[in-house]
Amino acid sequence: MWEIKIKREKNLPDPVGYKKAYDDCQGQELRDDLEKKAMGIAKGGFGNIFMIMFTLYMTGNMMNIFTIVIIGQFLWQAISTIAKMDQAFSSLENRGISLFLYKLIYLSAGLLQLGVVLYKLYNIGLLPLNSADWIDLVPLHHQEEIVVPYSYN
Amino acid sequence: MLLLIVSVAGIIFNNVLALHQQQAGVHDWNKRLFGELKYIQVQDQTIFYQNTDNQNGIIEKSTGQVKQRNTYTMCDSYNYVTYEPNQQIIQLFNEGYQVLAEKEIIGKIDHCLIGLNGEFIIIYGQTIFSTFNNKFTEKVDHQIIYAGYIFDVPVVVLQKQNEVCIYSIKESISQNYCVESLSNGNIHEFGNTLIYQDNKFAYQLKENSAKSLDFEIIKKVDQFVGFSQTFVINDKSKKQIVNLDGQVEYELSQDEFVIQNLESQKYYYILKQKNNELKIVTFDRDTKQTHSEIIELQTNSLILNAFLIDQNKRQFLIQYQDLQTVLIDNKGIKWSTEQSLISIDTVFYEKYENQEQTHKNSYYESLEKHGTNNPLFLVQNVISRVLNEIRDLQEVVTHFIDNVGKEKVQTREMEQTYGLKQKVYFLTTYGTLLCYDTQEQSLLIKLQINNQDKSFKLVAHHQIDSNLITHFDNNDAQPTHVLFYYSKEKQRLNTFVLDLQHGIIQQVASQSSKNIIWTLPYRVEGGPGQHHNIVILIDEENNIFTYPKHDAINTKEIILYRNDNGVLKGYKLFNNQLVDIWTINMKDEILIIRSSYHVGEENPRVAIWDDRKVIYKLIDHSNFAVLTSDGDKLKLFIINAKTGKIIYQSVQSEADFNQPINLVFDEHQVFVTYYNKSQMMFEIWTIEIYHAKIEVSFIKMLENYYFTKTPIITNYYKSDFEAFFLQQVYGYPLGIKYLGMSRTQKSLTKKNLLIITTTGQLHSLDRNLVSTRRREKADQPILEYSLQSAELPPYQYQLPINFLNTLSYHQTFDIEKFSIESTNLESSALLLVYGSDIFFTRIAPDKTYDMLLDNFNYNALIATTVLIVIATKVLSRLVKSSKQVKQFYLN
Repeated sequence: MWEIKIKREKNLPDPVGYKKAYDDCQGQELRDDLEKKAMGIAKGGFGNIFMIMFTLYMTGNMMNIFTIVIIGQFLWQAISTIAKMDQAFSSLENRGISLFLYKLIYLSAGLLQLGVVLYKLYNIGLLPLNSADWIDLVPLHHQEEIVVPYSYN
Repeated sequence: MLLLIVSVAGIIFNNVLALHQQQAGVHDWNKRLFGELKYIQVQDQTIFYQNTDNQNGIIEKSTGQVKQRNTYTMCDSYNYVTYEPNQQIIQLFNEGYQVLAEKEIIGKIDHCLIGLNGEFIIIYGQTIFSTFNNKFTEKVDHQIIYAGYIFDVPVVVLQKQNEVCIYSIKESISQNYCVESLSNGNIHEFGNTLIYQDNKFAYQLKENSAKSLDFEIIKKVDQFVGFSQTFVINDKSKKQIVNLDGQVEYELSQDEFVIQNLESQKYYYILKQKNNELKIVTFDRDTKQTHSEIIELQTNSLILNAFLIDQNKRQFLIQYQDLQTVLIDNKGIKWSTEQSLISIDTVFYEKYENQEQTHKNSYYESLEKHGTNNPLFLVQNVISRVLNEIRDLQEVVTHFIDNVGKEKVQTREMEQTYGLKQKVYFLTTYGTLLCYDTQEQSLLIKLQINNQDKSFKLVAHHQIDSNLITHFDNNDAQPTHVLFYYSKEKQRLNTFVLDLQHGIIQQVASQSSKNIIWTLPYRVEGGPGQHHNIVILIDEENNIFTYPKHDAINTKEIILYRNDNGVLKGYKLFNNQLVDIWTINMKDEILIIRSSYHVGEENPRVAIWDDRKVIYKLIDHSNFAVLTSDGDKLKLFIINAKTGKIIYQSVQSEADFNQPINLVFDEHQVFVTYYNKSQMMFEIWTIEIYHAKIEVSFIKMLENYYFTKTPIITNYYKSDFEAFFLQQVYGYPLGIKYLGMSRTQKSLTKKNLLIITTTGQLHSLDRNLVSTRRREKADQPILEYSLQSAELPPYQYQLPINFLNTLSYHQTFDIEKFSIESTNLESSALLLVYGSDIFFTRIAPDKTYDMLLDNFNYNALIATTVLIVIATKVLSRLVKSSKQVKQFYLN
């Protein structure tokens, strides 16, 4: 009888001939590869924008179930893109390159997507950006004095 | 497959059923009234009538319903004459088929007679027109006080200086004779002759001479029993039937009423109502014998008028003093109707109290508190809406299970909860208070206001807190109705309190006063959270009365105004005294005055939106509109009652003052309707008042109302009085008899114009169509700061008439006024239109605001859902068990 025990430890020693830490890998080539990959992730959001714009244009400005579903989907997509920024770049973390610029590009792509969707919402009239949307702030008329005309009946 | 076909068929059937149920006018009802009868003629199953307002019509004998009301003047049973006021042409009809003659006349027809040769004789004003031979028209020099027949010869009686003259109309008009008279005489038909009486003289007018009558007897006459040529005289202690010579035929008691027998003149019928019993005595004039019978009748009122309908069946038509009208025969009551509704003083409503009131809805509370469109509370409102819907659904399901199979009960409760079914109270000039259910038309309560004579007139009706009234043991918080009646003759003001719960009307005060000019409900603040309502009454000598008695009424500024014979006067109530504040002498004749304030109206919205901007209505309840006439010019003034300043005036020419003119002032809008002679069409003249301020930026809105440190503007008329007056005129293809405005609970939904047309139809006109903000041309660009609307259709002089908005459908009614009561649903209101007819309906200009469409069918929805679920389940099982599927799995 024999058995295999798999130890679920995080800090296991690397296998023979394998070096995990990139810090040890100082090659310019690798760095270029990583930056290229980071830029690919960062610019990924821009690719969708034209598709989103076209789809939203095609839906028109009428409120119906399809418009709601499509806009809802794009809105969710834009928000989740922004929210998942760290997750998108997780594979490139601690690889010796600065991700700040790429994250900024990624974020601007996400915000641009969000902006397109919000613009659509504005066009449909779902964003309270008109004075008419805040009309309830105006108090009702209140007459201070009583005015009585001649004979009610 | 079969199941699916059945399901689809079921759904279609349900939808068809729903559409069938959505018939026009399902909530409508109407009553046609004949009022106080003066004269009747019976033919088979119909009763031809003429009432005291000279209306003619036909009553169905078996039901008491008015089958037809004649708009024409009957000359006799077959011949009649019509008059078109617009064209001023009369048409003479023989038995309703043939037009015999046409003539243009000015003014309305007063009398129509049929001459000895069958010719028409039309009398209007002092003009007599006859169709005899080549027709003739003659104008007499004196006032015609009577037109009728003496021994079948058409005659007119003319009032001259100190005499009355009888003229016969045959081939020409010739004077027969004159007799001495005063100028205030009356004429009665008496057999084939006439009787004239005034305060000094009495005559029997015959063909060529008059017989002087015993003035003392005539003075006592209570009733002319013409065909039998006798009178009923009413002395202090006794009542007698006497002939012209004063000979007594029969003695009666004070509360007995005489009906003559028109056919044989052999009998008198004498009726007496006492203690819910009607006693009918038949008196044979030949044998002097009497025969009596008793019929049970639930009334305590006295008989006003009675007619013999059928001698063989012993049928009588009896009208009591409260105008309850019954048809009785020897078997009992055939039908009974309340005819006092023909003259309604006021209408008010009471909501039913449901035993199971639903819980307070926090969603609506939030809407009320924060406004319906406030985006800051959007999420909160959505959550509370969902939670409340779940709670409502729970309640509905519980209630549904409790009342399975009781659909009517559920509908009724639902309608009561939403105020769609209410109690409507009519207070009539006959002193009756009648309460009906708005849905089922059943008479719920009938009360009589006693202790007053006919000269008492209703001055005001108000609701006040019941805890202030000590006359009833009322511990509940129900408001009590207070009625004020004034008698000009006696110069007394009588106050009545109406307890609807117990069905009591009680007189609580009587005081001497002059003519009451103003009445107003007033809220007296009695400390934090406490208040009570009183009524303030002010007479023409500026005496101030309050009910219940209250001394200090100076907590709030009270401005009053009146029209004192063409002079407009403004007053302020100060220290229990009226102080003059302004006077305006109007050069022209004042036609109508309307205030922008309406009692019971909630605080209206000031701001409205158009496209994406906010504009401000200029609402000031101290403004009032005055309409005057100057030649053919119609002038409109808008005056501020606080300052006495004319803030706007405008004029329209070519107005016809013989046609109805209306003026309505609602919030910031004034509507005037009149007939334009040059356009030959009724016109609606709209004037709207707006504030100069227009808001186009939402940031500015937020800054103004959230972040500003200065106080929020609540009264736009007060802040830098910069007003824009817009006006526009529209042509309305139908005639306008009366114009009014619909009303809703919170004034959130659209208020339409309601028009009673000259043909007696009720039409609802979209208020947006008569807006002054419609732009001139469709392609005209609208500037950012313009009051013109991009959402309204471009201007068009003639208004389109959508006949689907005719609330009375194909029916026409004789209606004059209407009363509107809001329901608990913002979209709907109850509308009651009255005149000689009563028509009730529900209106909902913005129906989908809070109601489902009429063709929405819960049953269809439930059935569809259930069928789809069943079909899905069954089909999925069928699919699973099918051979092909089994084979697929095996492979």
